[in-house]
Amino acid sequence: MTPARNKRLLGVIAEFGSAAELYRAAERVQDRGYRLWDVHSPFPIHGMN
Amino acid sequence: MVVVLSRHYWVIGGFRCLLYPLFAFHRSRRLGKQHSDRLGLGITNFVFWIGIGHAGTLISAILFLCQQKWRTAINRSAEAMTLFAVICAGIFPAIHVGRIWMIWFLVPVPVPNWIWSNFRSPLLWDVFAVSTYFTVSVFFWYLGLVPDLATMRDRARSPIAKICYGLMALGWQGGNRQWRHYEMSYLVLAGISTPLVLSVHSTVSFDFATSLIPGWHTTIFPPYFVAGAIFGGFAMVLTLLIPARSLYQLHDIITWNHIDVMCKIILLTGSMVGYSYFMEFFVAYYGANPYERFIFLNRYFGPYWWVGCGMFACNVIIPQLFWIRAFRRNIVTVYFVAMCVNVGMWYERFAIIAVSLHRDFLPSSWRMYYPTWVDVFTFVGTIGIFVTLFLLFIRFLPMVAMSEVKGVLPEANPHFRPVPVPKPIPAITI
Repeated sequence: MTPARNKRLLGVIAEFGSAAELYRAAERVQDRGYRLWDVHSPFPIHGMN
Repeated sequence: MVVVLSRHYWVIGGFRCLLYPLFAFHRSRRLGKQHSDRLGLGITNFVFWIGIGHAGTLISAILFLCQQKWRTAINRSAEAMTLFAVICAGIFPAIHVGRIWMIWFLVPVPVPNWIWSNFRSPLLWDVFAVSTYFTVSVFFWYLGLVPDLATMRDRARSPIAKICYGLMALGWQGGNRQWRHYEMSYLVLAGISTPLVLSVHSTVSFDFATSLIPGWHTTIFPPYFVAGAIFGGFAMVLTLLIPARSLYQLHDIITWNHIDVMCKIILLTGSMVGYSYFMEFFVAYYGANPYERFIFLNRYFGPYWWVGCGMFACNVIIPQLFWIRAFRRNIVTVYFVAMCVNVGMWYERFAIIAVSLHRDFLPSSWRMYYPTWVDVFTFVGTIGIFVTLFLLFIRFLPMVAMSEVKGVLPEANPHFRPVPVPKPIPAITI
């Protein structure tokens, strides 16, 4: 395994402080056209779909 | 906190354990010997416990569909209470059918056995109603528990706890897709449970209403029983939650507003029960059936006048205190009324069942009903089971639905903007 291959980006995780920030971030990610992503939260956030 | 509380817990738990041998050993002594009115306490306790179970389903299903957000603070423990009350109730049919070796007749057996259950018997309907109710309530309770079990899994310190909670949490991760499915299934289960709130105690009331015994044979029973069940159930919720609230310092979660709302429901359903009492009495008078008239006069003025009057005082008069706001917000009066309702609802079932049976059509068969000590300890034993199960529940499972409480906070709304703190107005000096 080459060092370059080792540095391949597998995924990105970000943590947000509030439901509102998370929601805004999710909007951005969706607008960029990403497909394989999900939002994890300790309670259901309505309107997140 | 758990360490400190576990001391209380084991003391109470140990006391309960003493009751089981009494319960299990002596129950068998008198079975099969009972005369019709000797069944009094068995049926009374069955109806009493089933009734208590109703508050849980009302809170979890109907209030959920009505989007009453205050339910989140109390729904978990009320649902648990429901399950435990139904477990206690489930013991009594085995006793009150009188011949325990025939109890399997209540369950439909496959046709090739050539055993035909009597589908016209309301006891059989009871089996269907109560078992459906229990199954749906278990699903509902467990589904609500899943996100909280995942929290417990993530927070567990011992590996055994981690494995146990992890298995029960079913791989919950809190992803958005999971929440979407979760909420949809919760809604569906709430829809299924809603008719059960009304149907189960209606079916229980058919045990009486479809018979010809005066005092039982009335059409008012289904709504009257359902109102009484919700009434008694909420009183039991208060009975359990007020001590739990102060022991676990849950004052910020189960607030005075919650207690206030529950008191109002008790007031409403208690008044419905009071209306039913009056209506029963009126119909007995107006119906011109001498047996029916006699049984109602006998209920309030016969040898069991103290049961009839106690039930009337505890269920109709005392809850009227809750018209006054100060009484709804005072721990002493709230607890006092809740205990009165617990007692009063038990009296009500006793008044309907045993008091109606002890003087029926034939004066030659009239006699007083005296429960044996076996009967009494059976009831005491079920209280033991109920309290033990509840204590085990608050020891090992989250007694407040954490994810639901978080979900109804204003901050959970993605469009929530914190109110900006106004800047202090600079002092103007002239």
